[in-house]
Amino acid sequence: MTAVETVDRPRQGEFLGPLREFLAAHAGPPPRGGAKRLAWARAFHAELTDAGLAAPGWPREVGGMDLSLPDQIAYHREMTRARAPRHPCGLSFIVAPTLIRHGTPEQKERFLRPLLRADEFWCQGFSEPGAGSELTALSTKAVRDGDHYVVTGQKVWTSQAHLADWMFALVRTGEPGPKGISYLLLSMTSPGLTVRPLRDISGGTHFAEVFLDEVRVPVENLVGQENEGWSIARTSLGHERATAFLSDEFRYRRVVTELIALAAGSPAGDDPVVRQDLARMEAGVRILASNSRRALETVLAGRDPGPASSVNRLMRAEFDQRLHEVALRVIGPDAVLGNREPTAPEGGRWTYGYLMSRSATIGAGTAEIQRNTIAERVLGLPAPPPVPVAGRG
Amino acid sequence: MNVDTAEAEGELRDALARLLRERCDIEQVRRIAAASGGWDRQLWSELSAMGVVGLAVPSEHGGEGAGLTLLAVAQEELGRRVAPVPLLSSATAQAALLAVVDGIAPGAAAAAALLPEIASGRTPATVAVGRTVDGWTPLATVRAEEAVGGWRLTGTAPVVADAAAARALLVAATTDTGPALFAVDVPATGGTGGGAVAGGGVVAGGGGGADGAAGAAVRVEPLDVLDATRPLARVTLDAPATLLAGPAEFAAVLAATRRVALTLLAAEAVGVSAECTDLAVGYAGIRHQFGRPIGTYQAISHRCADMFVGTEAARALVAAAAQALDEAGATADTDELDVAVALAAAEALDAAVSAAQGSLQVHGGIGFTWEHPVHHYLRRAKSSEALIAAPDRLREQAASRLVAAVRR
Repeated sequence: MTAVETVDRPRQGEFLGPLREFLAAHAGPPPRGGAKRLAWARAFHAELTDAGLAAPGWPREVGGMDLSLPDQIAYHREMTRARAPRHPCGLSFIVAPTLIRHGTPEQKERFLRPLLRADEFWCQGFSEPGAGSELTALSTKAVRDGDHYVVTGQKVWTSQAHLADWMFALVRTGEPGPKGISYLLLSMTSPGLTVRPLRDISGGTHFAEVFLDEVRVPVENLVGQENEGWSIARTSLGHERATAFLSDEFRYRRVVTELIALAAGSPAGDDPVVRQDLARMEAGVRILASNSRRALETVLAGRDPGPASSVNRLMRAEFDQRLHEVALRVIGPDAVLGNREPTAPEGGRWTYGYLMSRSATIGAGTAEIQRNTIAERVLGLPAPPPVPVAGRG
Repeated sequence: MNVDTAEAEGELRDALARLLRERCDIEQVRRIAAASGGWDRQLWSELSAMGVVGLAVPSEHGGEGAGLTLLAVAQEELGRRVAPVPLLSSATAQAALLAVVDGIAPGAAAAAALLPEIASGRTPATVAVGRTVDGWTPLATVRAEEAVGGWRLTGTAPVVADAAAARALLVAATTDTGPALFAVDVPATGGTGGGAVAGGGVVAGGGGGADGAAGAAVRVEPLDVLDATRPLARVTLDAPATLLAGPAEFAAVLAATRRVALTLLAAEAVGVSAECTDLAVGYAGIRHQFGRPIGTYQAISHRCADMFVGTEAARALVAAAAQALDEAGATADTDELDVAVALAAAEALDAAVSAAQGSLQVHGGIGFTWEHPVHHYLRRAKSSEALIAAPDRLREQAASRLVAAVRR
């Protein structure tokens, strides 16, 4: 690191004053109603970005704050304390590090600021009907035609597709397997692209199917080199997770504190079985905090957290589920009430959260795939022999 | 963690791992454990020479001043080898003495005099306490009486860890006015030490002391135990003693001591868990059935992954607890320290048992044999659960503090 860069990095804690001022003026109780709440969160993040107080970990040249690790931790703590709305499009922060690392200057210029301001929403086009856990089996095809790719196929379980303006997608441009995959950015308003929302377990629509029928995508929307999409998606995932975990850490901390308070205010707080679970949740949230800091330290030291992030992901997913199972036990008889029932405890958040938490061990890699990754890439156990192609039917 | 700590930790871990690989392989452990009450004196001297024994003792008391964070790392490495040395017991005694010094208890001067002896490794030490599933109590079976010439302890402590190695005993005894902590010297017995005499026990002591006090007798009888790599003994006392902490300071001193003991026991359990995982992974990679390594079956590989995740989780909590204890000043929130320690210990003790049981299962029939090392780890893990406090009781203690904090 050169001396100039050292001077450039903001002094420790320097951002806190402006951030607190901003939060005092802009954070507060959210308005009621989904649409109003969404508009409110968008406006918050637009102003946060304009004030230069968004993206604490990003480099300055792409609009970030370039904060040190302790400052990033302080930043997230402050945001959680003020109950600032989370960025309304979490998936944006999966594509953003990829663009920062692999995107062209034009792509960074075009996409990153609208992304931060929540002017444009993103969805992730990875999974397909025939490519879930085995993502590299994906078959959505992109064929080069002059200065465009022509994309045909289907994506599924695409979260927030009905709200998104853009999709970052993995498509097949070459041979079968991981070496024939490219990373493309598609406008959701492209002719030939159809979104069909799917109702999920909670009754809401959080994800959709996306049908692609000869969708034309300009070649300048290719990220990285053709056929290198798989490694691009993978390397940026570990990086992404490390920083995303940090903001989750404070949210989980708050949720566990709220759960203990809920129990303390009811007879469940005196039940020895429930108390065992409360202690386990308290241990869990402390473990996650320690792990996410370690992962972030690795990233900031310039190393890839790599397969170790599978350990974090697995712990986090199972913790999230367990947390909601315990919460339903704490609310006891009221666990029969749905989230639209006005008399449900705390607005029905726990029954709703319980249902939603079931996706934690499925989306973005099942718990079983995480365990495979840990076994093979962390512990070095041998991979199972490939199933003969003829056996695949 | 800053870079210096991480570096010191890595160096200590490497140095100890190297020493233990050479000096404490499983055959050596078996030989020592085969002798009732045996312990590894040679290894103890080497650990003492390295400064490991006094790692957490401040330098003004003759230690290294490196804190529990590093001592926990050392204890983890010793756990990996189920090393039969009295480090946990000696470090627990050190913690009691430091609490006495910090608490300005009546025995502060005596404690300060004893600390450098223990920190150097010259005087291995241990604590004799009453044991319940919830943790430590004063010994109802050991009475302390004050007479002309000082205090005298009489009675029996039914289970004392590393008593055969100890040259100093810290005893939580009962006085007429309440519980109190005492130090008792255990004179060396003709150079043979406690552990060398199998079966019959050892009576240490002699006739009248130099100042004409009554005779001292400390009888140490090794017990048949689940985990022979951590010798336990019944200790019968009729001996002069030095008062360290009276009824006014006793509870705080015992609580502080217990926090350190639990943290180190948990660190050791992390080592047990890590080693059991490594053993299972190693075997799963070479053992073939149905034409392929058993580690290619997810029933095996996922169990190994869970053992690894459990170890990592426990290590994170133990490191956090050790750091919290290191950073805690005189005005520390002891409720928060108790929560951090209880959660770490519960997690680590559970992780060690499930890794040891899992490792045995992955090994199949060979894991059930006397020759295979895994039973030493299973014995250590299961015995550790019962040594200080049960994991579920530790969780209950943590939960009761957390719930009470909201209700206050």
